[in-house]
Amino acid sequence: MAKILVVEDDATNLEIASRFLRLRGYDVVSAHDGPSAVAQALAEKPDLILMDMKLPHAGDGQAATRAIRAQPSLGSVPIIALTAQAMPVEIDDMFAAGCDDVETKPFNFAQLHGKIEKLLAARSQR
Amino acid sequence: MTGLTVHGVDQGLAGPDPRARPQEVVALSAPARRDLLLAVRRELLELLQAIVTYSEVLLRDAEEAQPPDDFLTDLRKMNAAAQSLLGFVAETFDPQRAEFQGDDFDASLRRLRHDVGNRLNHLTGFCQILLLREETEHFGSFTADLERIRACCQTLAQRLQRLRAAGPAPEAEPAPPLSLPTLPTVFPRDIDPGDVLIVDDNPYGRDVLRRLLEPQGHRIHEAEDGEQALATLQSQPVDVMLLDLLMPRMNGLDVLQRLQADNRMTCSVIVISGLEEIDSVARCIELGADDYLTKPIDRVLLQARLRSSLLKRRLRQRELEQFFPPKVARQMLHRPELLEQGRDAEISVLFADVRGFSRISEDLGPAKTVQWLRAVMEVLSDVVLRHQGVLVDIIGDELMAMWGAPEEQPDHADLACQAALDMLDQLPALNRDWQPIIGEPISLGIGINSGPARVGNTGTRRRLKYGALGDTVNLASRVQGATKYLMARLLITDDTRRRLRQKFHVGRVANVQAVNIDRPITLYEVHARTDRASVAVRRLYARALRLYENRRFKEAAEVLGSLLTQYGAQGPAVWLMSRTMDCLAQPGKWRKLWDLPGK
Repeated sequence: MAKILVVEDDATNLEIASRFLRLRGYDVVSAHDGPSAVAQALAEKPDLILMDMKLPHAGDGQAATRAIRAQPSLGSVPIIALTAQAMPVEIDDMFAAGCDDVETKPFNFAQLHGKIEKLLAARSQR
Repeated sequence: MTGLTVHGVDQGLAGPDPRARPQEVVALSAPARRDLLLAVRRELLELLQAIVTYSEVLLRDAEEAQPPDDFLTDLRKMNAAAQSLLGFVAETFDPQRAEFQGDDFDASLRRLRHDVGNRLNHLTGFCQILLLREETEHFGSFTADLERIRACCQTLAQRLQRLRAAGPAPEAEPAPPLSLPTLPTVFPRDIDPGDVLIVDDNPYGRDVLRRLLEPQGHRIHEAEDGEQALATLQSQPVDVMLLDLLMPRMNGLDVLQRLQADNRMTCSVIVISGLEEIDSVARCIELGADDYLTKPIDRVLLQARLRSSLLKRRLRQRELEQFFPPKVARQMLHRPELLEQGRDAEISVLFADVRGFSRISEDLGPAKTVQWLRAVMEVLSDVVLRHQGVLVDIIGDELMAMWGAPEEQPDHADLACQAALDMLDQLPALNRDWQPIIGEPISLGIGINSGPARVGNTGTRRRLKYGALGDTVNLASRVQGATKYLMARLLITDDTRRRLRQKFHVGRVANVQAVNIDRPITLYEVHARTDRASVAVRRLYARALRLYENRRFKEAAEVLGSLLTQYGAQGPAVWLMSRTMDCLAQPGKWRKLWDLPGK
């Protein structure tokens, strides 16, 4: 069973994402800001990370993504950026920071599920 | 693995590809900023309004179906998310706010999109969780409403994309058509249902109102714009119009102005406006609107206002039902122009007079007289309305009624005669109560005439009196007067007799000449009784009349004599006997036509 780390400062969005992922059979762990995201990633070794891009404290999701990518033990864990109504420029920045995909809020569960499965499949093939 | 997924293929809920670059950046003027914010605000609120309604309906349905508690909890969370987003949009999309005054309007909009997006995610999130649970756990039939909410959320996400200071605003996709199942009754039926016309260019706006009102049994009509609304009002009885103010082409104010100008304000109007349009509301009320509601529509307020509007309509209808049968009263309510404008119609007019009024009132005294007359007139009025007639007037001891207008009644003559016979039938019951008091039986004289007349308001603007004018009416009144002289209870003219479609027992009483009318008029009595003696009396009378008209006075007197003694005949036979005796004494007194006394 794949384990997914959800990083989200908004409690309701965190609940929604976690509920959805559990309904789809994933293990879910969570973090609510950048530093705790890095700590949880190191401790839980998730198979995939959903990262909200607008996090409070210690930089935003991009900073957290860069920090995670800097940890050799986490390898190339796939990261999907979550964003509400981002501008095109920002999306480019997200990819530059090391995200593998972007999901815009409001989530389309089916679409998000597809992205997760695709990234997990690609990861297991390596 | 970086950049593996290609964007822009599956846009799904996210709307247009967010990576599309804006074409050019233009600084927006203050009015343009205002317009942009208010336009998007209006669109979002309308959608949220629909979402809140669906989710409330869903919650009520679910509470009855009793799914597991946590399913209800999710429904409540979705409902709360919708309410909260609605409140957020209503509050934040305000051009007056400080953050929209600054230089970086674009940044403010981005923040706004972000905040709305996050909150919208709560809503769609719970909606999708509920859909997933329905899929696997099957609690009830909630999928359709959930899908509807999801479709609204999807449109909402697309509309949110228009909130950009620069670049092409992504074209809003047309709202998906909604097929709505009829809802079970979820709201108490505490108002008499009415015909409600919903005028709104936005399909969600119409749908929300329909969903709120249909469960109460109201008959809902919809119009997409002002022109359609005016056409519907023309063709359809409408009690209350819910009129959206902001519409393309012809807005709500234009509709009211047109109705006012054409004097067609026939229904109650409740104006529905955004908060920004509150100034126009005052103008609407000046133009004849009864009330207004602001968006987002509060369900309780909507019902209260609609109820009060419908109540006013009912009161007015009651007023009209004093004079018109209920069906006609309702028609009058919707097409008051029928009352105002005079028109020519084929009608039957009935005058009924209570005999011996002055004599009886002298004995009874004023208080008792009023009581007595009211008792009699109430019974007679009921008879008129029961036979689909219009009660034109009651003056003292005389009642006037008509048939054939305002709506056409091809059988107006039959209805008038049936009503007259029915009036006479009511007398025994009235007499049981009143004969001991007034000391004699009540008797009526009823005259009916038919023909063309001018129908409409024969009163004034202040004192409406729907009635008829013309020779047909004058003659009817004279025929009623003739009943006194001819000692008949019910007389009709040959013009009425000719128009009868059903079989009545009629017998010719006399040929008369009326002042101002050239041609001779034949008066007939209408008989209710068909027993052998009555038929014999009629036959003998007809013979006596012919003899009299041929100046065979002696033979006429013989026939009449046996009529009076053998059959104890009364009425016209007595009158004809005295005419015959006059002529026996002075043959020069004979006239071919009897002069009908003037009024």
